[in-house]
Amino acid sequence: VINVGWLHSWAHASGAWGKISFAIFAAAAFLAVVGLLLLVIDRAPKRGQEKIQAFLFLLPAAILLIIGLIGPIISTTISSFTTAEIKRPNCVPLPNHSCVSSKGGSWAGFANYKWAFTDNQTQQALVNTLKWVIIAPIVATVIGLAYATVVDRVRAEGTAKALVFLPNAISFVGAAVIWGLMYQQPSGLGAEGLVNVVLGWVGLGPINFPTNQATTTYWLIVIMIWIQAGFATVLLSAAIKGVPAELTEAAKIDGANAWQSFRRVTVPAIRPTIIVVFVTISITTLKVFDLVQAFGADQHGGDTLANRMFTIWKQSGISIGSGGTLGDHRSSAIAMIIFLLVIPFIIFQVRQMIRTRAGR
Amino acid sequence: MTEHETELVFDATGGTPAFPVEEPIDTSVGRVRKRLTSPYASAIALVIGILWTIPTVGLFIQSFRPKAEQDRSGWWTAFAHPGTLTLQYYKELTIGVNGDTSSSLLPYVANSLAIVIPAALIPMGVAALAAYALVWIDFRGRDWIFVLIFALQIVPLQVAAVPVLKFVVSGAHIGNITIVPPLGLSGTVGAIWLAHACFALPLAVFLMHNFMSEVPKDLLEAARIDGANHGQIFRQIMLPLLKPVLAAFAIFQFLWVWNDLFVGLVMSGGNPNISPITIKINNLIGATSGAGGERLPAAAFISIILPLIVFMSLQRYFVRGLLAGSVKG
Repeated sequence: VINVGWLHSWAHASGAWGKISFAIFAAAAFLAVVGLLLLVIDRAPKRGQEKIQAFLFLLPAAILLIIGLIGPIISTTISSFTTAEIKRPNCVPLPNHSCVSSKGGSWAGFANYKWAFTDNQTQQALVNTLKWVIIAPIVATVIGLAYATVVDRVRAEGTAKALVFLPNAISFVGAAVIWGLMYQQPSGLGAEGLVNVVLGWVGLGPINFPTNQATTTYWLIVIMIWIQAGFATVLLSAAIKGVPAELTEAAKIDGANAWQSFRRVTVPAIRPTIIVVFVTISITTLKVFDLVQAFGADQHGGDTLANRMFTIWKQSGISIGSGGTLGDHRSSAIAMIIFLLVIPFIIFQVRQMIRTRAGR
Repeated sequence: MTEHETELVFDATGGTPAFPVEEPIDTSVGRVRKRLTSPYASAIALVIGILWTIPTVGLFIQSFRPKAEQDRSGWWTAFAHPGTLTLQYYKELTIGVNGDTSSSLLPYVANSLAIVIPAALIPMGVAALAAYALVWIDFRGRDWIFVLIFALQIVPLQVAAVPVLKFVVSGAHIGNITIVPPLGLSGTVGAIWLAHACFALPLAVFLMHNFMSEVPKDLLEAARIDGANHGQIFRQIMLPLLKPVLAAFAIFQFLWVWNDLFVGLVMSGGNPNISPITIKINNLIGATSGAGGERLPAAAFISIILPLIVFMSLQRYFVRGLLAGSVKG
């Protein structure tokens, strides 16, 4: 047996250089494995060579996809439809006396889903998620489209677009700090933020943004729009530049004004991109987690499904036993609900693609 | 079906090819048109651009202001008395003050670096291998395999992450039969690499498949006739050609992994020894009601500075990645 003790202690290194050097070692080891695989591919037996080679090229991807996506879909689906392990209360486990009264893992029908749709906090998370997905994608796409149109072919176009695109490089957690400062209340913990100052000018402020039960979700949606509008701008701007100049010129000659030309020529021409942008932002929004987590919005009526799924799973404790905890099964049901909510958007996009193709 | 799929995606980005081999995206038809010279449009564009940047600039300025100033007035008043600005919090959060490094963020920056290097490289290599077979080796069912991988992009992380953690901790089982024993990744950054590598794979395969489909067939056929094997062709011909798409994916994945919170939280189990910087900032936000809130702006800025630099210097590649495929877990 090879002694792997050194590898184990390196993998668990606590110093900065230990960790980074281990990462570099792992990267080099990975490249070595790929190199070895290529050597094996070149020495594949002549009989059925192409098939063996194709198999070896695909093998690493197949392993990772089975571990990371295909296996998990199956196990989460099963988990959402099965029961949890049940332990007797106040029981002390002894060698010949198990505390498990039910091993769990048996068919539970829709019990976990039923729980999700009747639990107050989860219901609220569902309603909030719908608010997110109704507002954020449309507003971000419209702002992106308007901005891409306004900046098209003006001086300093690149700079203007880069400024709006910048939030895409910032993590949601970083964005939460940035907007926490914008939304700040006048208090002992700091002077009031810019948003409250502006609201003060028009006589509306100050508002206690992130902890106001009725409006928490909306203030977080503003942050999502701030991030996604730049994404929309960049994609739509590229599409607008792809519209043949002859089309807009022809519209102008026919007497169309700028708005008519935009509405009747540009928008139909870039419709496929508008849909891609809208669907992509919708899917991101459906899974919004970081902003809710960072603001602790679940404490103030701002929970979402993705955050609820994480909370329920985390609270239940991590279980490796065969049956799993109740939280495991319930969080699986919430995850499956998110998955089901994503599917209509994908279908919408695929149908639009097919229609675009057929229309030519 | 393969070409069909690819063409659909080209359509989806408004006729801009996913990966123009040489030409950057700006060189499409529109560029030929005259620039508008309306000063009003320019002004509006810049004003909105500046408005969009104010929150980030505000954070940056706030990070240099001492607690007394932060409590007294908003960051925009800093211009009135620049003498009060200080590097104090940056010192505390990096090299430490008077030998006290207890609040240093550098260990978490190191964690993020240790996570992001293999988490970007592994899916890149694995996807390049897979895409090569799917494009250049003729075998039955390859189109279906590609469509399946492409379709896996829609699986939400919420569905996939917890089972990957279970695999890391206890291996894979069906009933009582152990198929794969635990691999010893538990409690190491290896667990986070594995999760990120798996989740990035569909997008990576998709991008590289698109790119490789555009490589002229003659090039590879000539090499085949000269007796080159698939392994050699991959190494000596395909990898050098792949550089632009590898760069685009690397930047995309770097930003994604660096900025991720969810996968980090699930896979690290909150272990500070392997937690990325986003988890630390998230914890700091939760703790700001007590002392130390005045350091939060500097802390946040330290966490976003590296992605900002990467983004600003390599934006063009990033945009290419976005235009090529923008649906990700």
